[in-house]
Amino acid sequence: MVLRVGSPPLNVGNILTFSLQVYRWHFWRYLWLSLRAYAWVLVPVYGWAKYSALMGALSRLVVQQLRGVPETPEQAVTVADQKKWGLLGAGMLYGLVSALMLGVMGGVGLLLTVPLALWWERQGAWENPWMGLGFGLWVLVVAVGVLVGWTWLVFRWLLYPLPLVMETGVGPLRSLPRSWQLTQGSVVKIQLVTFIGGLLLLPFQFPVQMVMNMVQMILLFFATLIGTIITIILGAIVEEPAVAGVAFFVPLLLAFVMPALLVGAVFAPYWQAVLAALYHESQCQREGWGLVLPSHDL
Amino acid sequence: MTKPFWRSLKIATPEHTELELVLAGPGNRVYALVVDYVCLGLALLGEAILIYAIVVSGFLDNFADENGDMGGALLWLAALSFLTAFLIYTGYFVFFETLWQGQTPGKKLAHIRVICDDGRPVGLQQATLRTLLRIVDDLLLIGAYFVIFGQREKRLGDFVAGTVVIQEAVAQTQSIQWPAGVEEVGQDLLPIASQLAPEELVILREYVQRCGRFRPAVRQQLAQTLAQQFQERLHTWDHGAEPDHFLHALYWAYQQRSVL
Repeated sequence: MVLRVGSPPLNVGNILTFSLQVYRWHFWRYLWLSLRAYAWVLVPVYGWAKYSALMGALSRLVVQQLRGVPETPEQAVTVADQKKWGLLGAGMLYGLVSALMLGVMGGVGLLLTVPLALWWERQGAWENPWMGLGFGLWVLVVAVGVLVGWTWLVFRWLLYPLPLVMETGVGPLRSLPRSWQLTQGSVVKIQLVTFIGGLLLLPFQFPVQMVMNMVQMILLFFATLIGTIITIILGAIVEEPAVAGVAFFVPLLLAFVMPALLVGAVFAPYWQAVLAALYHESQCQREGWGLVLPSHDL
Repeated sequence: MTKPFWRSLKIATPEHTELELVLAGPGNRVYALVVDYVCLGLALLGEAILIYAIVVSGFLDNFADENGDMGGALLWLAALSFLTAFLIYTGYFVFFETLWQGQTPGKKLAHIRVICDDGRPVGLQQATLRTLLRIVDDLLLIGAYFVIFGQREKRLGDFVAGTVVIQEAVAQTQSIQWPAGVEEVGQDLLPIASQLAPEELVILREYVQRCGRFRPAVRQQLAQTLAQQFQERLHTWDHGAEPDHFLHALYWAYQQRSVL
């Protein structure tokens, strides 16, 4: 689909509608990529790079769809796979910066509330019930402020995987500033898209969660069974109760982790599509993407 | 490969022409709903504060029975507040959808509008029916499933009232920032501006309308490329103007031609 004049603008609501629709049309393809990605999560380091690459491939697929030059999943995966270490590096950098920002903003939030509470404590102001209510409201305001302020900064870098998979000559260090460049002036839009996009998933969340709970029950049953068998066998071989105990918990842990990963895998393509649409829209708005004269050749 | 990402609705008008309208889509519907519920929440909060004030102020003492028991009065107050809350909830949607021809504050923000199936604006009757069924639709997210999976995105209230929700055309005419002295360059371009092909004109207009938001470096680069291409196609050579200036002048000249 090419965004022609006359087709609806990619505003907050339309980005979400588009993301739902594009996932719906390519449901099995995207889900397959996503499932592969989440299976790789279980493998440390190399698997995480593969995960980043497959997620990048998903968003690349959607951007190409928006640009009107659709690719096959294999093509997108090939491109993204070359950047897997860059994607992982940028992802770690993003996580680090976000955590740092959260620490700073959270600290500011604590400074705005804790000293006040202590001061009132010394004044004995808590006797008055209105003070408690007022303080509760103040904490709420500060908490919301911290959250909005934090996302205000962090969402500017949110598009970091896309320059890596879409543009040539962008490395992991360059991708975050590039995202910052693209998202200038659209951070409120990104906040709205994430918040409302989450609400839009509610109708899907319930059935998926229900199915996953059932899967978890079945897995737990088998995990306990297998764990017990392994424990008995191991106990007979090594005669070391500690080792046998660990062997009991490994299948149990998997039974807990796997449904969580499955839920993540089901919703990931939607969020990757949202990222892709945000990237494409930013490129159109900020960089005049697509303003090319039609070919002169007859 | 091109699949319709935007569901649309064809309406036959009495003049035997067909109107194609783009449906609102689940994204816009949720966006509007969130905004409306925030507004409603604030209104209900106001009501709650008012009722709290009534209880605290001792106004209810006037209604105590002979034993000084206020239970009856409190019950009445509770009943009244429930009724008021219901009236605010329904009244909000009915009031705005009737008054603003199918829009509420949230729908205005999301650029969507409720219309009748045949394209007419909604009236009090449709707005009321939609709102009364809203409780069923929003409860257990029933309406959400209908909107997401239905071909015409109708929730139960829309089926009963015979309405659909469509996207509003957002005015594309952003104000153009004309650089100083654009007329002088434009005067020279008047004769050639009419040679522009329609698809070239679309690109030119898009550039002139959108360039205000571009990053400076990108804008310069893009202007240079586009200006060069236009100059080659129109066989006009350097007028000594900057590329960005030239493009604005060319569009200005085109506008003058179409006015004449």
